[in-house]
Formats: sequence, C-alpha cells, structure tokens
Amino acid sequence: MPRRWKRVRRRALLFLAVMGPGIITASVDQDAGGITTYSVAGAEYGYGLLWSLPLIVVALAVIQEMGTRMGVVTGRGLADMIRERFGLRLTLLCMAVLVLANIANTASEFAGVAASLEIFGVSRLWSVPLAAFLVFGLVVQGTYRAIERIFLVASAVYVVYAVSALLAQPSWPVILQQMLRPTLSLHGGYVTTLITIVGTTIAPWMQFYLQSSIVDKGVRLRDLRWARLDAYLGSFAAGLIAFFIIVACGATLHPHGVRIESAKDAALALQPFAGRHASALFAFGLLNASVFSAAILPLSTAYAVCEALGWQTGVDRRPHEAPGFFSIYTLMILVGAVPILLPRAPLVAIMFWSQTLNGLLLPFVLLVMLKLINDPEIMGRYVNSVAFNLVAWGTAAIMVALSVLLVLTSLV
Amino acid sequence: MPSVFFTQLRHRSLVDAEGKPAGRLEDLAVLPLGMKPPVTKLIVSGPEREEWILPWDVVAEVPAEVEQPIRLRAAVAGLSPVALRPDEMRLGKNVLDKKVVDTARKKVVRVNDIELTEEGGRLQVVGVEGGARGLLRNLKFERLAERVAQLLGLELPREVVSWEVLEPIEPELTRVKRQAVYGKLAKLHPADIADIMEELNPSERATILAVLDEETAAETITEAEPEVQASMVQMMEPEKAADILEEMEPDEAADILSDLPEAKAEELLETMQPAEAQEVEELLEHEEDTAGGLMTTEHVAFPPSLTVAEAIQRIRDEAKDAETIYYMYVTDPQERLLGVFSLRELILADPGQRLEQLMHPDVVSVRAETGLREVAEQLTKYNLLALPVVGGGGELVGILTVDDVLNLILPMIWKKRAVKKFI
Repeated sequence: MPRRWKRVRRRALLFLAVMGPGIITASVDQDAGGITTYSVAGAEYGYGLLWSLPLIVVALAVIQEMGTRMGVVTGRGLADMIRERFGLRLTLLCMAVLVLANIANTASEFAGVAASLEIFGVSRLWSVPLAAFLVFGLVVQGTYRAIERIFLVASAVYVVYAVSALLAQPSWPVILQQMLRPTLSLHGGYVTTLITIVGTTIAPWMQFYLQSSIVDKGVRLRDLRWARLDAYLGSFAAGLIAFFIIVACGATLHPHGVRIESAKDAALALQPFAGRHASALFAFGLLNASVFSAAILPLSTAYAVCEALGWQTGVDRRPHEAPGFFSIYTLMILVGAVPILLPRAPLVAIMFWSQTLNGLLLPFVLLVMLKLINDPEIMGRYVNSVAFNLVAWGTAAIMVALSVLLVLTSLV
Repeated sequence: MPSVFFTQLRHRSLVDAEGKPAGRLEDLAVLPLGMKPPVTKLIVSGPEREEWILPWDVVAEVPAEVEQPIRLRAAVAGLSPVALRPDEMRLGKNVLDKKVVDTARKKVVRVNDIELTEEGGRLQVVGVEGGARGLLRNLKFERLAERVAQLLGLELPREVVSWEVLEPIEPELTRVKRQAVYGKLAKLHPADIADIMEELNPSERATILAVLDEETAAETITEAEPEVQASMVQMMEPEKAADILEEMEPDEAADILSDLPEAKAEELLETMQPAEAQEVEELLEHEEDTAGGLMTTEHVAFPPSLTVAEAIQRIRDEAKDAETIYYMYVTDPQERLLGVFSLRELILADPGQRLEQLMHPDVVSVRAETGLREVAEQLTKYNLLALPVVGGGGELVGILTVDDVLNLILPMIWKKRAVKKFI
C-alpha cells in the first residue's frame, strides 16, 4: 500500500510540474469576447446551441494537443518553426495579422474591464488605466513562474459561472434533451451566433501562446503524456465554462425574452431573475477574465514576434535588455487601452473586428500547423495520427467555410 | 571582391552554355571548414527535374546584376547530377532563418541573410547577417529602405557575424562534428556562455550543455540566473545532470535543487553519488536566505594538538576541494569550534608550534539560522573573507564565504528575490 501511494504521489507531482500551459491557455480563451458571445447565445437561443459545445471541445482538444506535442518534441515555439520552415516573408505576414488581431482582442479585453467595473459603479476613466498599469507591471516586475502561478490561481475564479448557473435554477432534463436532440435552425442569427461561438473558442493566438509556454517550461519528451493531459483538461474546462454561461443566461433571460448585446447587459439582466449575488459574481467573472486575457494577449504576441525575428525575449529580462519585446508589449497595451477611454468608443465594432481577424487567421494557422506536424523531418515518429488529421483538417475546413460566411453576412 | 548575398542568389534562373534555360537556383551547399567555407554544390530545380544537385565547377559566371541569370559552362544535356556528402551543409535549408551564436559579441542572432565573396571563381561564405538591413534585403526592400533612410538622414547599419566566430545552434548542423563545432562556444568564459544560454530556449540549452565537458557545464550553470539554472538542470538527462551537480560546490548544487520541483530534486539526489548527495541534502534542510542555506560544508578544520608543519602537510593532502583555505579552523573531537587562524599566520609560524598556541580563540561565528542581512553585517564589520557557521552545540557545520553573500546582496537580485518571496 505505501509503495502504491508513493507511486500515485510521484505521478501527481509529475503532472503538477508539467501542468499549467494548457489550462491557462484555455482559461484565457474564455475572455471578454467569449463571455459576451456565450451570454448572448444563452439569452437569444436558450439551450439551443449547447449541442455544439462537445464538438467544439473535441476540435479544441485536438488542436491544443497538436501545439503541445510540437512544443515538447521540437523544443521550439510556433513562430520559430514557421520562420525556420517557411522563411521570412510568410512569417512577417503571419505576425502582422497576429499583431493586428491581438491589438483588437486586447482592446476588447479592456472593454470588458470597463464594462464589468461599471456594474460596480467604477468609471472606466479609473478602471482601464489601472488595469493597463497592473498588467504592465505584472510582467515587467515579475518572473515567469511567479506570473504563471498568479494566472493559474486566477483560472479558479471561473467557478463563479458554475455558481451563477446553479443560482439560476435551470431545468436539467431540458438541458440534457437539448444537448442530445437539438432543435437546429437555419435562421441567419442562429448561424451567426454559432460561427462566433466556434470562432471565440478556437482562436489563433492560443496556438502561439500555448506552444511558447510549453517550450519555456522546458517539458521533456518523457513528460509528453502529462502535458497532453494538461491540454485535454484545459479544453474540457473551456467547454465547461462556456456551458455554464450559456445555461445561466438560458435559464433566466431567455424565457423572459430579454435581449442583450454585451456581457455587461447579461450581468445586469441576471439580477431580477437570479438575484444580486449571481449578477455580481457574473460581473466579477467578467472582470477576472478580461484582466487575465489582457495580460496574456500582449505577452504572447510580443513573444511570437520576437521569436520569429530573433529578438531578445523573456519576461525574466529588464526592458533595456529586450527593447523589441518590451516595445511591442507596451504598444499593444497602450493601443488596446486608449480607445476604450474615448467617450464614444465603438466597443461592439471593435469586438466584431477582432473576431473577424481571428477567424481569418485561424484556418491559415491551422494549415501551417498541419504542414509542420505532419513533416517527419521535424516531428520524427510524433507526426499526427490519421484521426487527428481528420479532426484538424475538418476544423480548418469548417472554419474557412464559417469565416467566409461571417465575412459575407457582414457585407450583405 | 564585392559581396554577394545568398537571398539575391536564391531563386535566380540559370542558363546553360547554349543560352538555354537550365532551371532555377534553390540552394547552395558548402563544406563548413575553415574561416571561409567554400561553396561546393548548387541545388537546382527544373527545367525537367524537380531537384538536382550540380557541382560548383559547372558555373561559368555569377553576374553582379541581380536580374541577370547565372551562366553555366556546359549544355543542360551534358550535366550530370551529383549527391551531397554527409559533411556538406545547405545554406538555405540549414543556415538561413536559423539562430546562430556570435561568439565574439556573445549574443544570439537570427540569420536574415548570408554574405559570400568570390575568390578565384569560387564563392566563399564570409558570414551571416542579422539586423534590419539583412531583413530588408531578404524581403527585397533594401533599395527602397535605403532611399527612405537617405531622405531621413538615417543610416541602415549592417549586423554581420563573420563565419570565424559563428556557432550554429541547430542540432542537425552539428551532428557530424558536434564536438568540433561547439568548440568555439566552449572556449568562452562560463559567464559568457551563461549569458548566451539565457537567450536560448530550454531545449537548445540542453543540446549545448550535453556537449560541454562537465566542469564547463557546471561553471556555466553556476553563472546563470536562478530561474535559468533550474530549467537547465530540469531539461538534462538525470545522469548527466547528477554528474554536473556533483562537480559543483555543494552550496550551489543545493541552491539549484531547492528551485526544482520536489519530484525532480528527489530523482537527482537519488542519481548522485551518495557522499555528494548527502552533503547537498544537509544543506537543503536550511532556509534559503540563512547562513545555513548559503554555506558550504567544504572547509578545513584541524585538531588543536596538531603542529604547524603537520597542518601544512594536511592542507596539501586534503584541502583540494575546500572552498577557501585563507581561514582555517580548530575543532575538538566533538567538532566544536575552538579557534581560527589565517593562512598567513600558519605559513609565518614556527613549524613546531602547536595550533592551539597559534589560533585566536575568540572566533566570530554565525548560527545556521542567522539571516542573510546579519551575516553580511558581520562580514563587513570584521572585514572577513569567510565566516564559520555553527550549530546549536557550538559545532562547526560549514563556512560562508564573502562571494556567496555578495551574490545575494546585489540590489538587483534583492529586488527579484523580494518579488519571488511576495508570491
């Protein structure tokens, strides 16, 4: 018995040592844009879109696992691999779109900060600069491991959505029935919402961030299975959070026909149905998600660009040791935060464009990843299995189709 | 001879002796020997074959104008392809876009372009280019950027790393003669190697550490930042890591192990030689920022009845591993600290004198749990190079040298530690 206990303990320790990148990436994924999308989906269509979540989780898990595997096997970040395999031109193109998309994403995170704190009566003139400053200081002052610990703890805050959902007293049999035998619709709004859910859950920056974290963490090949477990658990957690948000809004707002446009609306609208606490918890969750993602997005972008161009990287360095890294990082926080302070900032438009850029970049990133991960010269015997290729190609194809649809519908 | 750049050669078209198109240049192969490796072969695509390799001898002329095709000596039909030798490497595939170490300026550079010169009809690699200028040339924007820069009165600096001082990181490049290739890097001071390592990612560090000899590797790890130290040790094969930890001062090894995840530290301690592991384990029991956590157990202590001549002989025989021999200590059979004397006093003393007559019985010492600040104060107050550390019963457990403390007292490191402790 003691020996067995020792083995269990050792395994647990091994997993704990490797754990982090996958779960953090998945948590950052449930950012201001994500929470907004799920809230709107729940309010508008009740449980009608829940069926898509298991499918999205499978696609997300496969893609996250691919990034994890590439990081562990090659010891290189995705941007690094793109540069070495495809040359400078394609890399720069990729980085330019990534920077643009992530500036828009960062802006939508700061919009989330503004919205969530306005519920508690804090003006955005205070909250946004404060959040920007906090995010900036966190990285300039701390060390990577310390930051990772902060983020890992922050991930736990997502439990508030489960509590919010339970406080809303949903009807579980109906939820189960909707998940197994969904009532599909080809109505324009339904399809658009579906597209946005997929787009917000599987985002391109995640692939760069996840792989870099794995590389930075120095996960060795023998620990690959633990890193995979981390990626799978993270994807599952991401799906679970989305599930609870949709349920919370679907149980309360949908039956009463309350229309909402943002996560802030959702938090406010929850109050009469689910109580003051549910509403406050929802707002707090939004705040945490926004700050968390606002910290990670500029960081992951700066990492990717520097990795590709061979500039000094690392949160362990002082600004003058890595000027390129810190310039990009600072610039992204500034360009992300300042527009939110403008009195008539088009927040909804900003979120929409960030989503569109994500959607355009994702299939491209997936194709590049598939090309890299199926190259035996790079991956050796760790190339993709047929099943993984099918899921990944399928996702890429669906995303291309959905992105085209999204762009077309926005133009019409 | 004017320089030729690889990104301007790549994708140039070829014409044969009869002026017929002979495909497109895809890559160049070089023999990576000497200060200026010669280009030995060309990798060509088309016109009929997908990819074929030709010896450099078939090239008649490489015109300086970028738009002009490269001319061959023979007709396409008369060309016979050759194979690459295992010790040849391809510039486009193995060097361009990769990371290399500039061992002269001690930094890591991403290769944006490769500079060659022509000498006696043969192209030779001069060096690689990082920086903005190489990047713009790679993108074919160099001329445009030059004009813009001229208008603004700016200069576009070139960042060239000559082949002489260049060390590729890519493991495949060094597979053939790994030892010889990392030779340039291994000759640097371990502190410089550590600086370079900090710019690399963990797996690249592991590749390099695996090749360095144990002593250099141990010194390199010792010189690195604490965060980097831990990741270096973690990425290495346990056997190699254990060998390197054995090579280090026990206090350094204990510092590194205390930053590792518990399971990993346990594994390494089990792999190390029992004697060395035990020393490190004893040190690990102390708090990180106390005298006990910083001290080393490798000190010199003698019984009081020993004569000066005997003591000198013992130092010759046994004190090879001691961290310092400038101060030596006198202990009783229970290892309780009785006195101290300096190397100077020992050498100047009469060889027949006993140590109990030579030693100073009032020893300034600190307890194992004494904090770092107080240790530093004691060292400066009495102007000492080392302090003995004693346990609860007055027994000597180790010594602390001024450099152990200095490392931690430096303000920048204080700040980092403070953040770490805060969390």
